[in-house]
Amino acid sequence: MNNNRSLDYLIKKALTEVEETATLDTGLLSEVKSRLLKEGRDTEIMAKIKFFSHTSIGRAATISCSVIIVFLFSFIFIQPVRAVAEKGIEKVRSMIYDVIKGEDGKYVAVKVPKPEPGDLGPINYTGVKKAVAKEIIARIPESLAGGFMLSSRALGYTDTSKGLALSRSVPDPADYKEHEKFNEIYEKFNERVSAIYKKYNSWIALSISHFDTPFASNSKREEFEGDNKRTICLGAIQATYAEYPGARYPIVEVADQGGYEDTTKEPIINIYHTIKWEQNGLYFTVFDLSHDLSLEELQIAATSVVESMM
Amino acid sequence: MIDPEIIKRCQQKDQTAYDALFKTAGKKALWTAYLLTGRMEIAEEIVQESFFRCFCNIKNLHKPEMFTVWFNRILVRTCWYVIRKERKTPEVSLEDEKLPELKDHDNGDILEKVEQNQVSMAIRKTVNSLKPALRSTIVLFYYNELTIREIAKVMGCLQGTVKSRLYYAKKVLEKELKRELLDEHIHLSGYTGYTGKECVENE
Repeated sequence: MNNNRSLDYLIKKALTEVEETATLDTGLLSEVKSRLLKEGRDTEIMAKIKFFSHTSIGRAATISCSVIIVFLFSFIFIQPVRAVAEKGIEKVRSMIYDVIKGEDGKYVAVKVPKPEPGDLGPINYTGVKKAVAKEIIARIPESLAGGFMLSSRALGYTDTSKGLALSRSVPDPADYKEHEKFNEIYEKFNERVSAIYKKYNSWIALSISHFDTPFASNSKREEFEGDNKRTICLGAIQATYAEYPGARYPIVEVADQGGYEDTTKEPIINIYHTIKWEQNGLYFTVFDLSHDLSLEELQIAATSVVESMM
Repeated sequence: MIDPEIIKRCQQKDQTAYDALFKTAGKKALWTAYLLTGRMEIAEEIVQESFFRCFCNIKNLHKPEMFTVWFNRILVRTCWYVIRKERKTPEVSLEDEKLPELKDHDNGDILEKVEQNQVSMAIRKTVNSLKPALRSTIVLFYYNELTIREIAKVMGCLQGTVKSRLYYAKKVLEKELKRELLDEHIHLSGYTGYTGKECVENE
């Protein structure tokens, strides 16, 4: 029995005694979280695709997110939607709905001639059009205060003379396996970095660049500077909170290509909110994509961005 | 024992709970994977994969208090999968392992420490030469300190199978140890032979 216990002791000792020499790399957890986010994002993309052929109450939120994302960020997974939209509309439409601010101050949808490419004219901006440093991109937080988790990242550039904003979704720059892919996209798309955060059905978009455009340029004709502006504080930084209209057009399904927004149909107009601020020579914008967040919730999320970028 | 509250929070996708769970169970998982595969770089991949599967499926864990068994089941099966995929018998050679640094005031015990270290290395090497089922049983019993019943659940076999594997694994260990080491090393460590009795201390 003693020998048995001795062997037990020796085995136990042998298996445990150098355990402390092992160090747990916390990067492993980051990798796991990154994979979880990607998994979630893929599920969301599948949900978006499925949504085009289904009708449900839940699609309203998805549509509004898709529309806003198309206009603001042109995420890669929405790109086919946009491409098809442009082709489809060009073929058969000449009049489309646009959102303008009525005489009574309310946003209304009006039918206007479809603008030809280049009709949109230049986008006004302040600041400098230059690349956002990779160090800044790497510091984009994985989560925002209030429980919002990073869902996807994108890099983009804006041709302000033609009014074009293009972007591509990118992998985590810290992911060594995806580093080359990130660098490849960064070569062409580096003027604006954006990120989408999600909590349940609420979405927040963060945009960072060295130049600032109007609050929302999602109208075909007007640049909304934002209404009901308010100055708020994000820690020691002053920021501007404002509202702007977001148009949600019906989505038309296209086999194997997702779908497109039918701007020939009257859109539903929702009021979205934005917080903008300047920090270390960069312009930051936080968008409430799901138009369901209070000022306090958006402010808390924005403050966590400020803190992570200090 | 992992705090069931952490598990419940993980089920609600609380990111801080993910951090807490990884911090609490991560190192044990890493060392278990290392003991089962013999290679640290593979062990890290296994830990990553296991936690990924864990977080993906933790909502299906109805009894948080069963987390240890449930998670080790994922971990061990991931190890087996990797071992099969690698198609290599994991190896830990004595040469591969660094001897613990000995401080000056330990001079009097140097010989004893070196001897003990050689015994431990020989055991680890032998454990890693066992077949995956035997190796897993030994590691789960002695390192993870799971009971026979828990090991049976982790490995998906009968408790009697676990007992017989433990018995057989210890017989192999004893035989290999005798062959690997000089008799004086064994005697120095106080070991003079295995009696072949059952091994149920954790029960």
